[in-house]
Amino acid sequence: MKGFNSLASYKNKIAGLVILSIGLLVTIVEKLHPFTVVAKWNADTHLAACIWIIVFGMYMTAFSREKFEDERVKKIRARALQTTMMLLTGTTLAFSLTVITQNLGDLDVMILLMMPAIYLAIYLAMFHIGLYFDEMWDYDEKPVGIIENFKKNKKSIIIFQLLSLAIVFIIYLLLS
Amino acid sequence: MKNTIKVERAKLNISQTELAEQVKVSKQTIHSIETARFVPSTALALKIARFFKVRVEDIFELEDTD
Repeated sequence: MKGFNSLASYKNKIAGLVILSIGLLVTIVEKLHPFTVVAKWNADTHLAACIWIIVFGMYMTAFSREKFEDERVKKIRARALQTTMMLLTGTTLAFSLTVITQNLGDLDVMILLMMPAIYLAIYLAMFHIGLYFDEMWDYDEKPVGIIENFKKNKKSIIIFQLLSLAIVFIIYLLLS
Repeated sequence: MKNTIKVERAKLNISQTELAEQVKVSKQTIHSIETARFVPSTALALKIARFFKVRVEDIFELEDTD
């Protein structure tokens, strides 16, 4: 499961900060003095492209190593990601519920619900793959390999796989 | 968990930065350990103890609240 925990190098964080700064600058300029880069794009598309640069810069910054990526930093990063995930999905769910109960038709509640659904599905998949396919399993103080562990946890793994497939199928149905 | 890293550093007259370089962590991590705000892993505790040429339990001590 080592690959799942890999982050980009520290240089990517610097590059991410530069891209983020450029994105912020371009967005401010675009808002104050709208400009055209691609003729067939309208003003909203241009603004969206500028914001895309900001988000991409933030993405690179967020998922790059620190200069000293030691165990303290890893612990803080894990705590921050856990809290962020919880707050993000929690507030989106609360907001979605408000849209449903108040019948605010102008807001697309499906998009609001799809975002946390996708994030949570990915998180749950990664967490359970890490949990069940971890090479450090042991039974009765004897270490076992991935295949043997799969056999011993068959029921849990099958239930989890069925749930994952159902989530993917629902997302497919909603998008098609 | 309390520890005597600061005392051990003083004996050898080395800074947090020098210790951090030796055990391959950041200076901030050493500071956090010294001020008992971060409990290091077993591997890091062993590295620190080995650097000072003492046993882990000579540096780290459990408190009642741990």
